[in-house]
Amino acid sequence: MAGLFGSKKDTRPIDVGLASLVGSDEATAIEFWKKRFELTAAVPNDIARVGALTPQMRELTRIDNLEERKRLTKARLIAFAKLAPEQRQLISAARRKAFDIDRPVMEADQKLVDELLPTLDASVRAAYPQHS
Amino acid sequence: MARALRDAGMEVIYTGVHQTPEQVVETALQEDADVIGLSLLSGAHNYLFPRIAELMREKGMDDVLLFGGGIIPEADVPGLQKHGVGRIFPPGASLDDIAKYVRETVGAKRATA
Repeated sequence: MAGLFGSKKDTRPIDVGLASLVGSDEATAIEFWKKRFELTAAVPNDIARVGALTPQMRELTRIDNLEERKRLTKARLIAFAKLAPEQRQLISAARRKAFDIDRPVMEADQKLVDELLPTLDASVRAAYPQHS
Repeated sequence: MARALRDAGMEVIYTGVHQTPEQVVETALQEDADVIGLSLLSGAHNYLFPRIAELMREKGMDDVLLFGGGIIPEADVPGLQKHGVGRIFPPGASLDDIAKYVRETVGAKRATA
């Protein structure tokens, strides 16, 4: 929705489930992401998987509190590492394609990933071969 | 999904992506649809389904089936069904199962009309 001549900007969350994670504990956040990834990996179409992933990334960038955004991103990284290898492959492929859909959002997210991944346990880092 | 339901012999009006709830319901009303099916990958199901159900009630579309699927956790399904949403199919659900559900549910609704 555009903001023209004083009309209100739409501040409703894109992803209500993710928006409601703000302030949750780590276990809840990790479980949320794991379920989301499992559902996304089960989408039978490549393009639709990218369509599922992109709003989640956009919603994360709408979280103004940087520390909260880092916390939820960290939970996401941990959740990803808990997925089956074939699920990780599908999600990684969708993530790569998402850069073509919304590069600024994905680059901002990648910057956080690059910052957070080295701080995580080796077992989590192992799920991200390019960072091992 | 649209193609699968057409192949199953149904008339499908595919409205495309980024439709508002108001647009979806208006189209269904104009086309005298028996069913509104939503495919939601954005995580916005807890807003969109209830909103569409509310608009359908306002328009007196009590005989129209609202169902769908997508990135919708199982835990959220009972809440959606409390708003009058029918079955929610997870990603990868059998297209035959979905077509069968639509056919049987609409058939039952017509039989009691």
